[in-house]
Amino acid sequence: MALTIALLLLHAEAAGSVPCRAPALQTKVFKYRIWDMNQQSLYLRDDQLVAGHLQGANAALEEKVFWVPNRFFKHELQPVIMGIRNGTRCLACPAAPQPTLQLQDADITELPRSGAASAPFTFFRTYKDGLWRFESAANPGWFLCTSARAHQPLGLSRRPDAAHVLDFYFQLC
Amino acid sequence: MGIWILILLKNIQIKSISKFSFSLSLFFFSIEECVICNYFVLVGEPTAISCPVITLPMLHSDYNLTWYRNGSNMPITTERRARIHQRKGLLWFIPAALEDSGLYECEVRSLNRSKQKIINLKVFKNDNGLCFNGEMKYDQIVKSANAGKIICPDLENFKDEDNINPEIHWYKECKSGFLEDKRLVLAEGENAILILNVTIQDKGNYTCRMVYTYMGKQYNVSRTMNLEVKESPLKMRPEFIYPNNNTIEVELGSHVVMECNVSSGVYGLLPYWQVNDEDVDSFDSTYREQFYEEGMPHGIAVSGTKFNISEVKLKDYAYKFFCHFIYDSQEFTSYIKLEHPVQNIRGYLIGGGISLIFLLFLILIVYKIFKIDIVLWYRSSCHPLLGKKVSDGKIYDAYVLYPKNRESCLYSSDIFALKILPEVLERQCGYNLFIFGRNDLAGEAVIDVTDEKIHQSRRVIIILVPEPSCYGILEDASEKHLAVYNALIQDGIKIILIELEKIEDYANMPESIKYVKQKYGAIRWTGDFSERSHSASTRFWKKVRYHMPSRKHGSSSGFHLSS
Repeated sequence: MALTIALLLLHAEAAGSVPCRAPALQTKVFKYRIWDMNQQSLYLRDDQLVAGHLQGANAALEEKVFWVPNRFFKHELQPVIMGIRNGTRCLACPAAPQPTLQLQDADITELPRSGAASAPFTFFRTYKDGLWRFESAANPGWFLCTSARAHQPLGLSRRPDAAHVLDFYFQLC
Repeated sequence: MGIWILILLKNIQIKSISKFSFSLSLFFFSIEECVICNYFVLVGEPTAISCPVITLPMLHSDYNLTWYRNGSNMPITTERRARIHQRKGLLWFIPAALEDSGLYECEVRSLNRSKQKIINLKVFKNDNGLCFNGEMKYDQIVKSANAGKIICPDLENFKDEDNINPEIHWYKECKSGFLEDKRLVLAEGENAILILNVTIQDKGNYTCRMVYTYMGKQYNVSRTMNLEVKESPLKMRPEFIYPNNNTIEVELGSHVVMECNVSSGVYGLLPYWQVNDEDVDSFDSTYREQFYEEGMPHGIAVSGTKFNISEVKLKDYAYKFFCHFIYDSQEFTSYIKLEHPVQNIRGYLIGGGISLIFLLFLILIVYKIFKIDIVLWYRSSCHPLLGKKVSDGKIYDAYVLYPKNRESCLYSSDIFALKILPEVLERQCGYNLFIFGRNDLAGEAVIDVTDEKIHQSRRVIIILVPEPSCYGILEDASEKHLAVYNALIQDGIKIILIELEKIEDYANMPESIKYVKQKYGAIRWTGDFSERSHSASTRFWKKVRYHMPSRKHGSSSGFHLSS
């Protein structure tokens, strides 16, 4: 009985989390793997993206990153919007003195059309020696980072140091 | 996952009704947000397991964390000397034994709330002949032609007071000594090996091992990483596959897929289209740019962008379509230009040329066929407009020479020359003729008259009949010789030969006649002596009129003779 109710509720919630889509998918959503230069993958814990080393069968917990270019911003900045769970939970970083990373329900294919409102979801990319950095569009100078300590949430940092890793491998699945 | 559902359902059943809703939400949590549930340890090695719920924000205040062996209500001991004990929220196995495999439950209580989590510990033996178990490996990935790191992970809990940076020994495929390679640098503080320039040969199983001392006893702590080397093209700069600053020929209104792609060793290097300094989507709202990417062998990525022009419009020919990509903070650009198909212009040129030639040919044929009518029409319609020409001092339009009729001749040249010819040319057309035997005065010397009159004439008309007996007479006539001589040599007067009947053989004709026939040809009389043949608009008379000079109005009227 409890299981039935739970599954019904779960189904309702899953259906509600996918907003109406335009009939034709106009931007292909890329499915990538992302891992930091210290070999930490991302997984979800308490609705937070956490970076850690996944041992053995735990590798299946790795979250794949879905992304689209955001054409509202200058191409030269290589702006992207990233999300997990097929692009239904998007990485958001609203403007703040001490910005934090959140996951928000959004349709990754719709976000690029929301203009300036897509800024908290947008990251500018730079590439160097096989690794990417992701700068928050809403928080200039703040980059996506992992903690040097394992199993800590993904966050934002101004610069790489002993405690923060800013460089990521970012590659097609 | 199936195990989890069963376990949690069991929990729900044993809880009181008042706790039902909380358990249900925990149930959701477990389904949706799977955290690390499986823990692995090698037999004989120590391990410390943290409770997966302790990072919940609600637990930042005071809380109690208790570990249970699954199914037991007795908390695991906190006695530090026990092989299995709990300390500072961690469940320790120092060291783990094979029989420790199984489920453990941690319960977190804070104020009036509690949460449980169940973890699964698996204790493994080394694979046969190896220093690790294959199911416990960590996957790590580096890219060739770049620097990369191999990390010895999850050692945080094994730092003791006197050994902050424990010494780590490294093995590749369970053998030491591989660190002699100069490309490999031990990064001790990071528990890592730095590979300066990764090659494919660096892939394999790396094992790191440290010694952990607890309660005076030493234990090995080991981790094994499977290092995968993603091939990356050696210093390959991204380059356009297409376009290459080229043009393509497309018909107006046709459908075109505008595609741009780049090959590189970098994934995510998306090119993009621009035209007239704006995005193609802004240039035309029907253009929907789509990006794509594909992984190729040897680490090459093909990244592209494309859009459809469903119907090529004139404005699409006006601009170059630029495709850009950014690499190393630089912008790279290549363009494509739409052009009208060239072969059509060539086709039009060829078609036009052929038509023109055909038209000229047609005009020539028409002129050839209707030359006489055209000239006559021109004379009648346009000549009066050209005004009077200066007089050439001639009196007659033509000097007519014909064989005098004999009884043996079937053809009545007299009738033709004296009746029909004047009827048509003089009466109907207004020409002024000198007809020997009509206009000459009796008693005048034939030669003098002929010479004088030919000089005063613009044409000489010679009428021929086929019978030898008839032109035999002509032969003798000095008049004819003189006429031909005068016409040809002295004055360049044009001669018109008229055959009253088809003359098969000119062999017996005088040389002068042969010459004239060859040079000017002859007109054959096709009519009879009926009234119908006396019309100036018959074919025969048109030919004659064509060869006759252009009639001069005014000057001829004075010499017009009425019959």
